[in-house]
Amino acid sequence: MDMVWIAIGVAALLITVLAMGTWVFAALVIAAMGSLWWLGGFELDRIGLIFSRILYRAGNSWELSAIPLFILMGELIFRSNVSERLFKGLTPLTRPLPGGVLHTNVFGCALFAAVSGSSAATTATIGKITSRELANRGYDRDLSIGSLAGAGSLGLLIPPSIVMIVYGVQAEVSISKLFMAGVIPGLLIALLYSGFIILRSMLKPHLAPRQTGSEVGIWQALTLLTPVVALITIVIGSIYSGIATPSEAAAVGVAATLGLLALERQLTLPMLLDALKGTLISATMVCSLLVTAMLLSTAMGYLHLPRELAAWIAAQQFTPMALLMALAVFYIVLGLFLDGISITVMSLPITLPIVILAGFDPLWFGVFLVIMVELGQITPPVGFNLFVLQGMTGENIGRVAWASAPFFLLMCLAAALISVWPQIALWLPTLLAS
Amino acid sequence: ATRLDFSNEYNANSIHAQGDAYFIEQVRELTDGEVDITLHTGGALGFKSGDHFYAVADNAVQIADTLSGTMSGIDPIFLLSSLPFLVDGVDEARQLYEIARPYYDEVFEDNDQVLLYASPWPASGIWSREAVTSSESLQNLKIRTFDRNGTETLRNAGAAPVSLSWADVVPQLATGGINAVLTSAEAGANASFWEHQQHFSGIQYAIPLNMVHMNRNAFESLSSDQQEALREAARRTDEHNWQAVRERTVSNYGTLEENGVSIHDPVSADFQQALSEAASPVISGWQDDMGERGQEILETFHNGQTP
Amino acid sequence: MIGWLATLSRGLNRLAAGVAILLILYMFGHIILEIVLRLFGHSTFILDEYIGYAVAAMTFLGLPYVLEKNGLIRVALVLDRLPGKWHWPLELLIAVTSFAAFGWLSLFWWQNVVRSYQRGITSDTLAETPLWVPEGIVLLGLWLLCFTLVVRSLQLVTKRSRHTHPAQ
Ligand code: NA
Ligand code: NA
Repeated sequence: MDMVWIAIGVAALLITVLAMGTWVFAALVIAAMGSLWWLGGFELDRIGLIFSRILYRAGNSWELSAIPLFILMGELIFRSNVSERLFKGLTPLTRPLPGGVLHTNVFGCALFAAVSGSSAATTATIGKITSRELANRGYDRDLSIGSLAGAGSLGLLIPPSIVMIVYGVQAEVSISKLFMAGVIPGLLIALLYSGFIILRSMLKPHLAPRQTGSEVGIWQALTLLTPVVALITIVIGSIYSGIATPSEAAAVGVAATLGLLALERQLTLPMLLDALKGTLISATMVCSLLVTAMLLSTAMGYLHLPRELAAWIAAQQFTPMALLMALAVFYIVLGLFLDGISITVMSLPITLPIVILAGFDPLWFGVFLVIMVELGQITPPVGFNLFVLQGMTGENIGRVAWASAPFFLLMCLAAALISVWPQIALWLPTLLAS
Repeated sequence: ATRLDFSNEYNANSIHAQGDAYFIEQVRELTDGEVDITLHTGGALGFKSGDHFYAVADNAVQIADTLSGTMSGIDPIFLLSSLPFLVDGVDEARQLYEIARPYYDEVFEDNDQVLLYASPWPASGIWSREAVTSSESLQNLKIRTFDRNGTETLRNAGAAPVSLSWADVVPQLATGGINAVLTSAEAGANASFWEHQQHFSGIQYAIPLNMVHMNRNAFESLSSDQQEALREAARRTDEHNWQAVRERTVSNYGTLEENGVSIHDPVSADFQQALSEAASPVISGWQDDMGERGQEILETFHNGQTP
Repeated sequence: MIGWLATLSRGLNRLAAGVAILLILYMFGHIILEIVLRLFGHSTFILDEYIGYAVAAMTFLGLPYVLEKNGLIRVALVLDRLPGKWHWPLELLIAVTSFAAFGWLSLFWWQNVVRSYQRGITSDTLAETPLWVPEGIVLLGLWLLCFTLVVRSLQLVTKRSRHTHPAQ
């Protein structure tokens, strides 16, 4: 198959440029241009015309605005004592649980996913709030990074979710039902992650040292949690009351944080400027990667790569379960290199009809696909949660990816569970429809 | 075989993508597979409708299916098909398209392109929570519009139009942030609007067109037989699409009824009259922008002449 | 000469970064304004259009500054394993190929911005925004990025050391 060689060519080119040490955003552009020139035989002029327009189009995106604003929210909280109080409050509450406040990563992300539709924004915001506190308390760095990477991708599965909206529009599946179908699988993944943290901490107690010292009572602990609870309530409330759209929730989050910090007299001009500067650096890093990743997707589109691979699967006459396995491999491989929205729109015209023909519910397949897309967020070489965490922790991508590997496997397990028991996804929408 | 890429922003089941697939199939037959066109639905190449005009002009992509209104910043003629309450039904919409076709052709030609065919949308109406069947029920209604004509017209009619990205529409309907949406029965059905909206008023707002255009160099580098085959395929697709839009309208209404949506079509003459009056400043504003061309098109249309 | 260029590049990048920060504040302000207006049945009608411009402008105006501040991630697989004397040639190769890629794209984007300006192309929205403005801001960001990469390359050639910016 020609396509296999083209796929190997694109992968080899990207990996070479990345491994040389090129900035990831530039490597994506060079690899995209290089593959159309080398593997597609496109003229350099046409490559310039295509990608200059895509570069502008991909950047010019209303949905992306949630990234700088959620990052700003995280930077503001990071510079106040809100996160410190949160952890002080959570310590006595989570003491009986092996793993202690490490579970904050998992449940913080799951909760934040209820206001953020993007996985990069979820990882960046929660990571900014938790990673310093966890490091100060002596928690294992790998477990801390990996749980953030894995749980951050819940931003896509727990509503609202940009990928689900894209799937709903492409597959003509009700977006409200998709949102409901994502809730229980999302919580299931969170529980799997927590279970893993408990297991690891019981086997190797030094990974999650028991917290001693400054003891606070239960009531005092609860008061320490109020600021964060208030923030989350305001943002979720603004969405579910219809005051703000999910895309606007990030601005509500910034407003609520500014209000809270002003009320507590923690807001100063130097702090605000510092937070804005930090926001610019993180947001530019994340947005530039999301934008340049689109160029690679466009190159793949022009090379007809995803559609021909999908067409090959369609032609194999697999049994339903074998088809699902083949699609899982297909999506995981695409997910190594491409962003979730591109994967969805490029593959669906071919995969959706065969999936429906094989007897799967398109609503269920939406949840399955979103889990596949989430897996792509934590696989190298192109994994946005890995990039966010590399930027935040300074660890190299290899270590971040390695730390995320157990969480990748747990998410695969979740995909297997919903394949065997589709009701995990379908129960809630069916219940609420009747 | 010559390989061409075709960009389209809509999903594979949409009336536009199906029309485009029909065109590709006709081309394949007429050229014995010598012209091989790949349709990229859902904006899979990364282009949105707003990028298509110059992407095709520059041959970044050879063929594209583009919502006409998104090109209005290039030439106001592209607002013609979405002018509110100008046409009443598919027949008039097609007549208007045929009158304007030479003017459309000219704009594309001036920009190194060939207009192949049009792809009409089913008529836009009002989806709403409470029935919208009179001017009174439109007062202060928070309604999502899709272009500036709709915003101006509905504001003139007393509504409170809101602009929202399509991705935000369903969440806003679910939470009651907006009460109504100006769009076709088709678009609402594809997004299961009936989960939140129980009424559709067939006000025959407009039958907007999508334009399918091709880079001229790409077209002219085909053999003359192949060029003729593409023109023939485009003629057939035009015919097919105007037929399809009729069928879709009927089948869409069937789907709406199955899902318990009350259809108000036609609406009362009083209401229709009030809406037309609200639209008249928009239409005269467009005529001012267009100058002589607009005058000619509208005169021919109102005199009931066929070109 | 190179020192002077480096100072110029740093100054311009800081300026662009300042504008990018203002754009973040603008996004926040406009979205809040829209939410409040919608409560009263009004709208600015241009929210998604202008926020889209602002995101693109923020990203491309911020890039050169963040690049200079080493805020953009890379996979230093080869770089970390090479002996020190090979660092600067590899760094030079990286800077030059990145410059070539973005330089090439900015060439074509320049032609597009000129066309948008000469033909007076506007957006299809109520605002009828002249498109050369948001497109031009992105072009400016691309140019600053290219300039930063050129200065970096020149410094690598002259200093023959991996570390180009003393401030790092
Ligand atoms: Na979410
Ligand atoms: Na990946």
